[in-house]
Amino acid sequence: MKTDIDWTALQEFSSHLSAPGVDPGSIPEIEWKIIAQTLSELLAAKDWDGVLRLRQTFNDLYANDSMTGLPALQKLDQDAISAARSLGRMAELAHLLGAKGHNLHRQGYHTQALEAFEESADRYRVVGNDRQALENYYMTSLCHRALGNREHARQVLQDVLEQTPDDDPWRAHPLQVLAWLTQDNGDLPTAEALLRQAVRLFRTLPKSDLLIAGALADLGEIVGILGRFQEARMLFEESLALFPAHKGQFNRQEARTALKYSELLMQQGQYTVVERLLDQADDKISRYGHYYDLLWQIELARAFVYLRTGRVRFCLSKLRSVFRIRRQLGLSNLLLAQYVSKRYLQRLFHSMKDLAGNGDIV
Amino acid sequence: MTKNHETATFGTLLRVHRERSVERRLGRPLSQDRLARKLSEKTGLIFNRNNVGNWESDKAFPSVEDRRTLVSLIAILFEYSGISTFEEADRLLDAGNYRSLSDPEQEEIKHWLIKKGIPTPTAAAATSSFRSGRSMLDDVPEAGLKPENNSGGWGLKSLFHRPQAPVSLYDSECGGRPIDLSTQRLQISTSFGAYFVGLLEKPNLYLDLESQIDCPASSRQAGLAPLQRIFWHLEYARGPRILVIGGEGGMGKSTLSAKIIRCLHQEQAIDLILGDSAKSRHIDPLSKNLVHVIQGFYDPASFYDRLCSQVGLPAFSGKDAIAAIRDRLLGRRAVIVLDNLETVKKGDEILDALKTLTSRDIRAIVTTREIHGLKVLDSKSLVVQLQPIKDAASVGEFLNWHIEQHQYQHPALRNLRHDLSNHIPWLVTRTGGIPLIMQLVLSDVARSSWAAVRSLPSLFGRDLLDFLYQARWDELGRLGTAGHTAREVLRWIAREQYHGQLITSRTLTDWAVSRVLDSYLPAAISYLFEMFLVTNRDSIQGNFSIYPSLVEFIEKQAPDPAGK
Repeated sequence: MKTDIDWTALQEFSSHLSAPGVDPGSIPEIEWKIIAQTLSELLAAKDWDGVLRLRQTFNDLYANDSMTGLPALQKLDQDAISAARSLGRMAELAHLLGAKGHNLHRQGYHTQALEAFEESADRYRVVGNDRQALENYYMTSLCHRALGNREHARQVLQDVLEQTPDDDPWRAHPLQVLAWLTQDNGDLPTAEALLRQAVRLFRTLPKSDLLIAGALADLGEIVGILGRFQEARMLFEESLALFPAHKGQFNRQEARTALKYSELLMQQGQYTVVERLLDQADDKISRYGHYYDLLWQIELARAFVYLRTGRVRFCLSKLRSVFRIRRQLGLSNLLLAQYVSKRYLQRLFHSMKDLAGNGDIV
Repeated sequence: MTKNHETATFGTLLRVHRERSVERRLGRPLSQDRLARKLSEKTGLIFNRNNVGNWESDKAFPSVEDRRTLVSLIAILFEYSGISTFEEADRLLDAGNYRSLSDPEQEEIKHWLIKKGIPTPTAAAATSSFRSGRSMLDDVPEAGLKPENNSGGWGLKSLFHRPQAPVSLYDSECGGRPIDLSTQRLQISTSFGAYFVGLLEKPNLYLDLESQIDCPASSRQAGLAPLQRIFWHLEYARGPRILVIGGEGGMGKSTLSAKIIRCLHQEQAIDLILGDSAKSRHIDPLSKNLVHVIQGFYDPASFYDRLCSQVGLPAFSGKDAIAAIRDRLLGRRAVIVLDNLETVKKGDEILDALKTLTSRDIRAIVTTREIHGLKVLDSKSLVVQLQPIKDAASVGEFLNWHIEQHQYQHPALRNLRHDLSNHIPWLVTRTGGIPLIMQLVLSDVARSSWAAVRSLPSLFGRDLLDFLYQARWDELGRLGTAGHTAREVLRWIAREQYHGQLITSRTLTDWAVSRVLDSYLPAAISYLFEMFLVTNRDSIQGNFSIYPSLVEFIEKQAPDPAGK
């Protein structure tokens, strides 16, 4: 049974929602309800093609980084995957699973994201799209790393790099993740070199400013840990300057840069600025995107601010909040210890080394 | 009966004149902020809204030497029609013990107005206000407004002689400016619906009537007006953290809570608005019909789910949810609003949870029709009961404010100003002083006469409200196709408003065109403005809404027969 849907109006709405400069959170609820209403009509009519078309209409919103926690969008995504399965549309299913994996990973559901990426890669291989299969396989490395399987993650990246020509700028993606793994092991100079290589490659890609923004934030973090504060600041500011052109659409990415920048400022004792920056980052990710993985990191940064400013009770509350959110995501406390070591203890270690080098500490 | 306008202070008169000034483009009175900016532009000196606020509350005065400021102030009030004659201007100056306008100063003002393309004033009162054709003081109800010494007189004295120099923590305009909800709009419209969003974003939301708010006062709050006492409580670090606003439907509970939220936001005391409206109905996603459910459908778990989602947490349940939300909110400044507590099953449990969640930086506002039966109210809660407006001064002030707000949609209201005070006692007795009912009755008077409305049946409270709605509904039924169109428009607005829809002029026209009712739309809208107090908060794009009590009434009405 076919339904009478105004697809033009839906497309216009989608274009409006995903336009740079429009923060989807400023659009009142009813305008979003058109999605849920259309979906329920399509489901009632068992119009599976229509469900897939509806999901496709809002592709940009799923690809962007602000709203994917909205229940209406999550339901549409789930129903579209079911529709693609029941219609046997392998290529569409592979695409939807890949997008789902990205959003699950951003939210912190890494195990589920891993399953989605693996299935997506398999489906792409079945339909002969090896490049997309490779890209989804690459994404499993991020999940493995987040789940603490660093060796597995490194193995995936080596496979991916071997299968990617040296002159393919897309290599920037696996190189960036390789830099994270290298940083995890404490080898900051190598991590820095890898990130600089990734940034160079990203700059050769069209419409890559958000990729560059992410890599610059990573670079700023490492440079900051290595004690080159002024350079780190410039990298963070360059990263943040790339977001206004996409205002409202990549809130998670923007918050990620803000979080890393606040960690640098914390190292410099600028706690008031840090608190404000963390509040802004929090507001960007918690209202609609529900990016829990970044949320607990922001809460942890707050705990450190409170600890360093002598507000111990506040610090303990925030640590409770961190453990609580991570428990909901199924993430282990061992991984948390590794994270703290990488983000905070490395800074402490390098600060002490610098002081010792200057003769301040014997 | 003499008009004792000599007793009016400079501040009082300045405020009255400013509030009568209209920014025509926006269709609203000149704000303190706008007046200050205009004054800065005209004089080249720096003024802000605090200067104007202080002048209006007689805490400060323009210097007697500073004729430039005084003349500019009057010129601006002329420009925006807040003053229409030189006699009124001199009266204002006189109230502040300033000398009257000299001839050159009058010429300067005339020259300024000619430059602006505005007709120049004369000295004669008879050619005054563009709105009422009467002078400003005639527009003010001959206040008092309880008969003094049983003489039947309604002297201006009691209106203009409010208790002298009340202590004020917040500017009286605090919360007067709409909030730009920005990225919180989706969250707030999801939780509270478009009506509440409209209250937060609407200009000229609230008229502060001291007698309406029954707020307990401690010894430290002597001299504070009730609204200021509420702000004091909310600001005081060790003060009550939960504000419960009780009152019947139509008393203005949501409006007061919106005013408080706007003020807290404006003062940067909060940056997050959280909470939920407890609903006794929901939308069937397939049929799109409203489904009514039994009272108590809403429960604490729904409330916790909503709060978890608003603070970005995954769903937790029960005590875990409360602890998770509390830890998340630590370090933030927020207000948690729970609208319609009376519809909640286990309302006491939610109040208990709110006690845990609130802190020095996190306050809660709860609205409810029923305060009796709430067992957990204690020193952490401040209970404010909204009372009917019964003292004649407040009623007069309120009705004049209503006329100001609705006069552009319902011009006949302006004609009621001149003898309003004569009818206030009857109006209070008949309506019980419930603001919404008074507004409806006043609109009836504007459409007919005082004599006609005196035949209202002996009903009170909600019954009277329903009777008034029903009479209007029936009248629309007798007004042919335009009347039936008006009914359909109301049904449509009620439905869309519940869905949270922004009802703009364009969506309204599109809807009418789709039903081939567009030729009747202007007349229908006119009926609705006059009879049902439909408000349009955006004179350019359109932003129509109706009172929740009217939505409830419309939902009970059977559909019109087809073909009407």
